[in-house]
Amino acid sequence: MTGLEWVGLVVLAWVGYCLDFDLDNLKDAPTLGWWVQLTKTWAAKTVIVTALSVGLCRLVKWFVREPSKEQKILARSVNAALDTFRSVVYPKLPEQTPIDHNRVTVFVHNKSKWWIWPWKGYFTPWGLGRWPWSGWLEVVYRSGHVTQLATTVYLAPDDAAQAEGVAGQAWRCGSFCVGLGDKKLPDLSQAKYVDPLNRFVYDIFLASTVPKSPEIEAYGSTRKQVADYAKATCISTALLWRRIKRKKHCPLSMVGVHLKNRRGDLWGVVVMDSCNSVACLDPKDKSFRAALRELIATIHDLGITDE
Amino acid sequence: MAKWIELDASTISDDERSEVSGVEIRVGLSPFDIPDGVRGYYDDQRQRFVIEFRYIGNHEEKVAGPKDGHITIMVGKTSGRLYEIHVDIDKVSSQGIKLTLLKPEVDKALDRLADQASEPKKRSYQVARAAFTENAQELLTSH
Repeated sequence: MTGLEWVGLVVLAWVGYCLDFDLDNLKDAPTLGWWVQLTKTWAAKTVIVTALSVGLCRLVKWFVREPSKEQKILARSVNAALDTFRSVVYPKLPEQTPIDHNRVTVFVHNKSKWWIWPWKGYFTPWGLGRWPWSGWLEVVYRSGHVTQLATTVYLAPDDAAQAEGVAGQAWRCGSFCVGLGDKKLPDLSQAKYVDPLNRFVYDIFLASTVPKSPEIEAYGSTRKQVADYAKATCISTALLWRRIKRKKHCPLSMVGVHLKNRRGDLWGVVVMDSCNSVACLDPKDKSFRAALRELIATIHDLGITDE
Repeated sequence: MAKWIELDASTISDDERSEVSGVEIRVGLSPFDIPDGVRGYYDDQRQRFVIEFRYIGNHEEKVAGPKDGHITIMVGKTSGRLYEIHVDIDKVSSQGIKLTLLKPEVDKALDRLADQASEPKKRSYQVARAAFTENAQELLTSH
């Protein structure tokens, strides 16, 4: 128990004691009698506030909890397996390549997700027409030792045509590859963020026949790249502009394939994203399939896909 | 037991390729639904010739599909993947020419299975059929 919980216990014990106390016995101790009288008057509110405080303390403690020792060991084992998988599916990586430029990410499919941050819509966390139980793909493990604190969640609903992102489309189709050959995704590494209000104003200028400033012309070019990128990767332009604002990587190629549990049920997807010209192997490549076989065997042995 | 014939996923399964806003998109079957090995052998206990497919993550329970003449199909209970084709044939016949004459029957049984299935199982069965067709001679004569 925490300190606050001990204090709460003492307070509740005091309230219980006072409620049963006969004030006539305290005629010789007026100060104590005053405290007992005060406690009796405020008993109900004291109990409610104490219970709420202890409850809130427990909730905060749960949210900021550290993973258990077993969870840490499990995470390290999966991370090692993903690093091995990464070394096979990106065979031509130059030695000094930063580890976050070519990543392997495991998403698990959850039928419900009660909180999403950042929000997908202006009015609800799940976006327009979507609910906590719409079906979601959530990052659980990633290769390397950086970009581990991912909060990315993609929509993977029953009406699968609306599935979001390469992860969502991989969930829908089985295997989904973008930019694998020479025709890669637009390079947004130098894209300049423009806030929604300015985008609205610039769009009006771009639609008009008035001469445009170099800034607006540059925005027009970025806007097209963002639209093309969003269309190819099945995400909204709003989500992509947010990534640009936070200076997050926008990969040049991505591959997503199914992951299944021991029983053969769909469990999640694994997505390989690459920010440089070195793309992942084709999922039909023998080396890719051999590496996937090893990865799924390790994941099954660790019991991660067990319900 | 017969040796596995290793399959090349790129020859038995095609991706759908398209271009969206100048970016190449490839959509294909799940790697879990494309077999990576096939073998044929005579099962003395069950007295039938068995064509077996191997997949990534091969642990699920198998159930029998509908019998089609001499042929019984075993599919995964959860995934519906085609795991085995059982041909009712005695051992003597299995060592002779009669086995190769069963190839059209097996092809027809697999076609019927694919016709009755919905996507994406249909595509998975078509891939298994392509794997069988490509290696039929070796499967049916090398046991």
